[in-house]
Amino acid sequence: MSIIIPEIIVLATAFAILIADLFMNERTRVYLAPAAVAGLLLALAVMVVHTPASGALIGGRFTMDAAGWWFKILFMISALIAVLLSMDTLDGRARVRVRGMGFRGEYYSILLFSVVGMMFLVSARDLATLFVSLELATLPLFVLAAWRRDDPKSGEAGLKYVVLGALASAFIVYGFGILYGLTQSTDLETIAQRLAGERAPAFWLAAALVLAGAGFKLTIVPFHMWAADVYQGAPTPVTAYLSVGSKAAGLAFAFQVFYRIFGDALPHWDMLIAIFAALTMTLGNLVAIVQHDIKRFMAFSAISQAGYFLLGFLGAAEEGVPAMLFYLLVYIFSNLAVFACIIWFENETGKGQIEDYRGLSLSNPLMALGMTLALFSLAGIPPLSGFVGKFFLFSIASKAGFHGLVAVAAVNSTISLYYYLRVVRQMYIEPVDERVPAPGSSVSIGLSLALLSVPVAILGILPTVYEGIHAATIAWLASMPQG
Amino acid sequence: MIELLARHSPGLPEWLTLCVVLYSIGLYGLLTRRNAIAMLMAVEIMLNAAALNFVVFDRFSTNQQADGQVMALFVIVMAAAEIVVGMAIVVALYRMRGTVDINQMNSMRG
Amino acid sequence: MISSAVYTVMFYGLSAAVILLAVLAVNLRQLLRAALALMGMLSLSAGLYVLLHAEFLAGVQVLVYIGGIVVLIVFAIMLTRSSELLEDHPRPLAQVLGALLSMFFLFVAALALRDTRFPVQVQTGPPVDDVRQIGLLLLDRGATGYLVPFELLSLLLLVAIIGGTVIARKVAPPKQPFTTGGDARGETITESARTQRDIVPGEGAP
Repeated sequence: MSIIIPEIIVLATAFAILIADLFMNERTRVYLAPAAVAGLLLALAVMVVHTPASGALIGGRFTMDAAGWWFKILFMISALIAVLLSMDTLDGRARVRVRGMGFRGEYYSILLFSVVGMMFLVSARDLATLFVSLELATLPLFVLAAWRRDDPKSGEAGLKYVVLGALASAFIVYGFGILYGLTQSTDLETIAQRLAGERAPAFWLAAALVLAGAGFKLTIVPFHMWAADVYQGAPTPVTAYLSVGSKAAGLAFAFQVFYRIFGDALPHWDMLIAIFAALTMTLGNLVAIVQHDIKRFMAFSAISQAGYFLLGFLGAAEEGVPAMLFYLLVYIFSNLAVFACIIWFENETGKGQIEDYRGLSLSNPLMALGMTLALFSLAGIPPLSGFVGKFFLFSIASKAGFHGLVAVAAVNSTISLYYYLRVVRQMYIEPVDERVPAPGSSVSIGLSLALLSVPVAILGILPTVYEGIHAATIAWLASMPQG
Repeated sequence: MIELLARHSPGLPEWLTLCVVLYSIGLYGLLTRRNAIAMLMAVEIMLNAAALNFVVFDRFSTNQQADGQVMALFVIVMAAAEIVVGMAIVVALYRMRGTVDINQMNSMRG
Repeated sequence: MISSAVYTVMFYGLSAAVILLAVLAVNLRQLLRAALALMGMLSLSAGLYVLLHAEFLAGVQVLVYIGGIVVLIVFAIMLTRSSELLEDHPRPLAQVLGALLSMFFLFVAALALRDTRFPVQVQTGPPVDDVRQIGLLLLDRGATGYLVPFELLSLLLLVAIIGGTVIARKVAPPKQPFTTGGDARGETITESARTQRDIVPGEGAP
């Protein structure tokens, strides 16, 4: 029974916030965010301390395994930091107030509902749960992206996201329908068994449809259109959450699809995956170079990062899975750290162009340092954690024989270093012509940046985390059905 | 005449073709429409085809276990949830901008 | 034999009508008419469900799609006066491209489906009570049940309701009950970072 307790805690928190909001006034609603944080911390604690790494409930329709454990931890951490980062904006503590960001109770509860959806997504063992929970994970994101009701950009972001999301669902659902027809089952394990050795044309059609849907969620290149608009238009704390949350959910979905349904065909798709990976990282990088808006810049950076994730699917699962999980961990920490600085800067100055960051190292050296660290980690500079994460992924691709792809990835890393350095240059090197007013500080954002910077700096040096993930993966693979 | 009709009674391939035709029409609508509402309508056609697809397989490939019908039920409700959010955003956006033409929405460029 | 002839006629008749209405729904310039075509298409799909002996789904289809979705779409069209906006800009290039792409998809998918031998099972035994079967499956906690997605679906609808109401609400003027601080119009930059305090106590109380 204990394996579902974290989900129940998060869900109960969401409902408690939703109901408490009704009886609160403006002043007391400040306590909603701490309540959300407390709920997530409690769920995390239960997850770490009490929950066994494997188990099944409801006749095996809700299961827990080692990889799922890591995913759930990451989802909850992302949401936790997202709540911390949203607090200032929603409570009106920002110096430059963001208008139209109201309804705190609904905001936090919807965010928590999305976490619940993601957590059920990794535990799903049938087609129905898989697509309903994917929908529950992403529908709140559409809503949150459109949350600012006096900013057309936010509405535009929400609308584009809804159309894209609905299209992705249509692909996934039709693909699932064909899979159901091929196997007469909705149970993932049964489907995998009956699909073993299946090479009927309809199988390829179903695979293409489902993978296209997963591509939308992961922002893989032919399906990346509008992703940048969504990132740029959404309220900045929401962008922070969806840059990590939706990517993590997309990767979780890809895990389910690749390893549980198509596990047996995966080795044959190497070439295709390699091409998509190369396209994604190159295009994301090239477009990121010319961006001026920092959120749009981070959007293209996120697209190119998705390309690196794909490398993990190339090799054997024993190496690919831990490498992808580790890089996801690193990516979440680094990206959220960058966004912590972006949100803080926007709250203090109301500006969001890269040029606006000029002289930040003088006016607030700590923030500048945190952002630099996180950007360097995203670029993959040793000895930061991003370097180690990329190193594992690259070595998988190279072991699988894709040396050309590794070269492309390495070149891309160099390009990305150039554009991440652009931001750093603005903060440290560009001459300051006017006197920069000293921006204030914020407890919640400072705290989250501190919490994030430490793992960004040391995860690469401490081998224990990666070893933990690796050991967990071996156990996970041992429990996998062999198709 | 009746004999001829009875002999050509539609089986699984005909039903599947119907689904895929409907799905493609929805796809066409999505690619050509530029009004956000019209795009969501096209997606509804696609989702409807997908739901029908589940029921077709449920009828022909399984011995009436109703799994496919349950899946179709989920798809229908999911489509409803998506439309609710989509239309809410459309109305809010129209209030702010006076258009729901998705191609005119390019307020964001680098 | 008569029944199977009727079945054939019904299938081809309904299919032709559904396809025609779907084509109209994606092509009509007047969006309101397109929505009507969509409505017709969806109700005839309910007829297809009846042909497949899925009477329960036919009912759900009418209730949810026609009673809910299409009505919502019609409301949105009328509220946004979209029907006027669409007529101005025909885009022949996009139409040709879209037609080519979707024809390509149709061609490939139809071929793939045609060349696959799906396992077909002949119905044996008396027809089961579908509604009962669906109800049992939805609340079944066993290995073949759908309790988890069923519950998740209720959460999904809750999120849709909350999100829909929050987003579609008019931006309320300040001092309205149930609004939160972020809705207040007026100054963008305040002197103090503690604007929180500026709000009159009790303003947001229900």
